[in-house]
Amino acid sequence: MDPALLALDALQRSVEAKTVSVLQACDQLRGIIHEVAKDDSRQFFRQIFPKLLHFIIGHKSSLYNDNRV
Amino acid sequence: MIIVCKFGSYLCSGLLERCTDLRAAGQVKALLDPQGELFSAVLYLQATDAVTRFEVPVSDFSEEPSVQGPEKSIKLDYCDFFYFHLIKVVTAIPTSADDVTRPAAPGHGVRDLYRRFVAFGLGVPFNERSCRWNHDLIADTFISILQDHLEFVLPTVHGKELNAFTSPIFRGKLLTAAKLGESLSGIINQLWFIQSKSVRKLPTLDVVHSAEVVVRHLCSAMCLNPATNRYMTQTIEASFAALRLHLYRFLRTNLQDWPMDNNFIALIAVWRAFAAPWASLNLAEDITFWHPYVLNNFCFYILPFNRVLEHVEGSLEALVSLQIRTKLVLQGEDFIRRLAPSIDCLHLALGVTSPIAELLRSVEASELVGRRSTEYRIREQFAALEPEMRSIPASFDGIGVGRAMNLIRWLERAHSVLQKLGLTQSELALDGKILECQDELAHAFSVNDITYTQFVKEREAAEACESTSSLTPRRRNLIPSTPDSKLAAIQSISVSKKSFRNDQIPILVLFFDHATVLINRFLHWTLMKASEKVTVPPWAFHYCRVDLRFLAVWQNLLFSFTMLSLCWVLLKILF
Repeated sequence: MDPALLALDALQRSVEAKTVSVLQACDQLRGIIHEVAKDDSRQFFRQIFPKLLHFIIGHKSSLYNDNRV
Repeated sequence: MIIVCKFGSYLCSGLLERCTDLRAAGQVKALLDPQGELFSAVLYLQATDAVTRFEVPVSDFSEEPSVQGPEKSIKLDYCDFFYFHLIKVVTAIPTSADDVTRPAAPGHGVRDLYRRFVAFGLGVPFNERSCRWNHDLIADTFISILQDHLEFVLPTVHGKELNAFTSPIFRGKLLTAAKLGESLSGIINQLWFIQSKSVRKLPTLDVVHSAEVVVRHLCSAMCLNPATNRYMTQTIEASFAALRLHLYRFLRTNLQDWPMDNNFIALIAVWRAFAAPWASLNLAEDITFWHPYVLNNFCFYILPFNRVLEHVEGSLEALVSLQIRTKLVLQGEDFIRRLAPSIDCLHLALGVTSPIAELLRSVEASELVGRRSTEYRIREQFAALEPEMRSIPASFDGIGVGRAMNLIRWLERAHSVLQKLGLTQSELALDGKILECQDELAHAFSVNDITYTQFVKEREAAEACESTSSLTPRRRNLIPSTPDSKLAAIQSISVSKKSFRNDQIPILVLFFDHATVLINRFLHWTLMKASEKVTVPPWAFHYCRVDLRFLAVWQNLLFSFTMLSLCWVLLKILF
């Protein structure tokens, strides 16, 4: 599992446990997005993008497969 | 535990729903905005990575029940996937069937409960339609994010300088920028406006509010198109055309199905956003400037308007007649709170059609007598939007005018009830709206005093006739009410003693039945024998059968015998 996904999981758990506030979570998310959106980490962004959307917006699609076509 | 069960928990909800103050909401908005970190990364990858796709099941796009078999999925690129999530979240209210272990989402919680409480307090009927967002702050934040994205991909002249068409990311890739607008409007149409025919579900109030924002924005973009490049113009026109079709069906269905509660006005506001763009654009133009717009969207001013008037007429008649006939059974405040939604809806609807009533009347008259307006192709517009209807329904014909006069009459009565109750400051405002509605109805439908007085006399005479005429209890004598008298009545019915006529002779029935069986067996045996030598078609077995039962009737037997004898005699004479 890549480190960005692990970091996002940990952040989500902290928010659900209310050990991290929404403001702090937004700051940390900014850092994660900044890291994974770089050219050499694009693969990571592709992997965490659905989870990122679910974490921020809230709706979870019933299928989260991503395929290169 | 009780609190979680009643108000829902935040489990599986996003950061957006966890915001409790403006600062947190602002931070989440900054992430999701077109200029925010997340969407900037998405845009960058959209422009540079044309390969990656994300799969979404088809069932997430449509409410139609899935057919048996493997579930199909749609592949979306970065921006489409982002927009899909943003738009879908408003409609995605978890049901108990989703996950039994998970309590209801916060959408079913405080805000919904508050609305129900307020609705019960007001005495206004409230159905089970729920809201998605658990707080007005979040609803406002979502609307603000949606507006920013609409402004980014479908810009208006009032928008910011930076949009998809001016963004440095899409420099030299205007077609990709144009695709963003079409995909956002397409996803909105699919998820908000297209409703399943088999699964009838009313949209949530948050969907209707968001839909109003979308409609208002697209109308503004269409009317105030900056026209800086042709890609932008084409995108806006294509999005507007798609919206127009789906919005019409959405309004037609929901204006009929929604009950007249305190949320019905939200639906009329969506219609108003499309049908009266001059109200939101605040342009200092004369109303004649908008006549081409009205004629190009003529169908939006007929059926939705009729549906609103029908709804309001029904609810006003029920409420005011109840109040008058039961000698003011409702308390003053209760009556006013029940009356207010109908008056507000009527006021809003008349605000759309009243300024253009003359134009609508003249076009309707010319269309009905066959003098078609070829420039705006009204008949073709109607055929596209209402393919089941053969002719354009009228709004301002005799029936329409009658309905308008009936509405004026009920408004008059409501006004007199209010006067009896005594007016406070808030009631004065409602009374003012009633008088305004009366004037606008009279103006829109050209109702003059003489016609109206005559109409009122006729209606009052009809009502008086209904109240004084006694019913003749004819049926009471015919159908007695007690079981004993019913039995006596049934026994008294004289039944004909004559038995049914049967001309069959029993011994002949036995004989010809037996003969039929024997002959059919013989025929079957013959065919089987023949089939060993030649090919006998299957139908031959079916048709080579006889039934001699008819000969058991002596008349038939006599006739057959006579005919055979005659044939024999004739053959003898001839040969």
